[in-house]
Amino acid sequence: MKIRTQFLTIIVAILMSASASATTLMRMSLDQLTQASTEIVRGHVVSQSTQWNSGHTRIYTFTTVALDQSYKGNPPSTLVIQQPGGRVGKVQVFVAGTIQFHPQTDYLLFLERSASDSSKFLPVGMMQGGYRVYRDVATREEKLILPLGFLRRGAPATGVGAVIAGPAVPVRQFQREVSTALGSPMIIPRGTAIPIAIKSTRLAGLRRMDVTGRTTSDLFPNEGLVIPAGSPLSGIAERVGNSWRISWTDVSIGGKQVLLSARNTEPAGEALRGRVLRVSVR
Amino acid sequence: MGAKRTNRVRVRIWVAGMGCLALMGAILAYAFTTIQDDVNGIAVPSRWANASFTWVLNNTGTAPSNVDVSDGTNPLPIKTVLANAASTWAAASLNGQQLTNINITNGADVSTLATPQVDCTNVISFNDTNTADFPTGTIALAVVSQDYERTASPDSPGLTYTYIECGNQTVTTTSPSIIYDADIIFNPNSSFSTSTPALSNSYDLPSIATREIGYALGLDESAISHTVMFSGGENQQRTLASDDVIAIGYLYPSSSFSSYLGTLSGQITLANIGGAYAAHVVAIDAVTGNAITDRLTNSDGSYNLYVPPGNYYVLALPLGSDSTHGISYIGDFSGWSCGYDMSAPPCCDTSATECNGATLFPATNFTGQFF
Repeated sequence: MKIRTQFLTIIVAILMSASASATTLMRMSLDQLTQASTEIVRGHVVSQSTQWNSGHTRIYTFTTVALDQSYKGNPPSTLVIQQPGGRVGKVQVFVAGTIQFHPQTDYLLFLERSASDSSKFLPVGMMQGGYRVYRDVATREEKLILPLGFLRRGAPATGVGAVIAGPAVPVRQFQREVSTALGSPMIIPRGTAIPIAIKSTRLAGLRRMDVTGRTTSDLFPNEGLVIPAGSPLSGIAERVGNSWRISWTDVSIGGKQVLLSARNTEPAGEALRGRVLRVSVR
Repeated sequence: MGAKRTNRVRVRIWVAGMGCLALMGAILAYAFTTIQDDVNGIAVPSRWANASFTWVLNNTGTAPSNVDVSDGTNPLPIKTVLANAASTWAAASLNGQQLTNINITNGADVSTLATPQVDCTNVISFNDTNTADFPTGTIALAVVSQDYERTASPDSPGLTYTYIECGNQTVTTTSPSIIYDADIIFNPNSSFSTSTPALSNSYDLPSIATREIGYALGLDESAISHTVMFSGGENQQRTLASDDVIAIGYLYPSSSFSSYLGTLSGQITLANIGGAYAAHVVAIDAVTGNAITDRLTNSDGSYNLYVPPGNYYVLALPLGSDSTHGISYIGDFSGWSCGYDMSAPPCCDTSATECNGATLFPATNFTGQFF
């Protein structure tokens, strides 16, 4: 009877806090999660608060995680993760697809900095970016839960990547997979069309400018690559007759520079800044 | 099995030790479920009061730049796509029987809002400017606001509950938990198409809109892979499967829901423990092998599956007998095979007692995702 009571207590606790994915998500591979993350960390939940925004129009939940280990980026010692939804008083705003953090529990997290507040972090792919760590009762081995049941490894070119079988895998195995993904080269396939907006230009000599742009869409060229919206591109614009010939040289994906070769020709006369282009990779 | 006949099916499943408990948080997403609230310690479905839902488009009249409404085959205006998606739910039928009774209407467009708000206006937006809402990989999401009343047990029939929402809107209904605001936001950084089929490199707006409106109405995930509400996403399913129809009928039933559907009921038990809470049960059409509907069990392991007249197998899915075996979603049944991909059977460890390498029932091919 005692076992039954404990069992039900645990299950009820999980059920009442469980959230499904009431969101349409792109199912991302491990390589894509790794690339889109500015920080990959292991940490434990310290606290959580849910509050209305200043305009009392939206509810957000902020989870503070103490850093235990870093795999990518330069994370602070404590990270605040922002997610929409939560409960304030009687009002519950349900945004499934969010991670339901458990107090004093370890997580391996794939995070990106919020564009609107770089001190806050967002889980890449929402629930896909959070992996709860637990210790297997039988083997005492540390494992983590794959939130969507399994995870594709991703492949550098077209095709289907290997599968990391879940729903739970040993933490050590997963760390090796993350390390492999971090070390994998990123290659943007020829023909990939990247929509961008030019954000700034700077004179770099006679009839020559440095140009920066940012991508305007999340792009998933293949299962092994993602180019998140807002990724910065760099290039050089040279004045040729009545045109600017822009040679794009690299794009930064999750803080990692990736070389690319692409060219756009734009009419001169008006400022390049603010123009929206489609960059086709050669 | 004829209509209204109730079968009692008692199934015993084997689950190894407490190791499975840690996995359950990941598994719970995988069944036909509804959005719920905690009322007096009991999880009850949240519904729109009086089965009425009005949505408005946040649009100034011009299609947003990330939605292609002109290319491809038979592209449609955005509002037509959304209205079609809403009608799909309002007219949800199974074998010619309309099982739901919900009134869905389209209100006048609103002018551009910066972000969706908890304001009792159900806005569908393509231009949410709050980048914090869209981590990489987010295509669309529904933001659903719920309220509840604790004045009486949710099991008490005939009671009415009065809610005051958004400052001054009074609602009286029989539901102890309501949804009073639901906004749907499509990622402005994703490309959508209204063509049939969708343009390459674009998401299929009709299927995603149908899915998101399902959430706004109070539905959550299904584990059946050919449903609109399947948790895996990306399946571009525009038309409702039987599980979708039964789910929306369960929330907003027409008179046909109880007169046409029968009930399969039973209990899932665990060795040495008793009733298994949140086990996953699936009704399989015995003739076609189609997965018709699925549910999670109640706290005592009991379940009710609402099914049209027919003969069924009831499959009780293990939540994962250990960390490497189990089933996370299912397709249809015409047999049994195993493997992470169907080209590489068998996946079942023949030494594992939940598989034994044996056919579970006469069907011959079981498609789905195993772990």
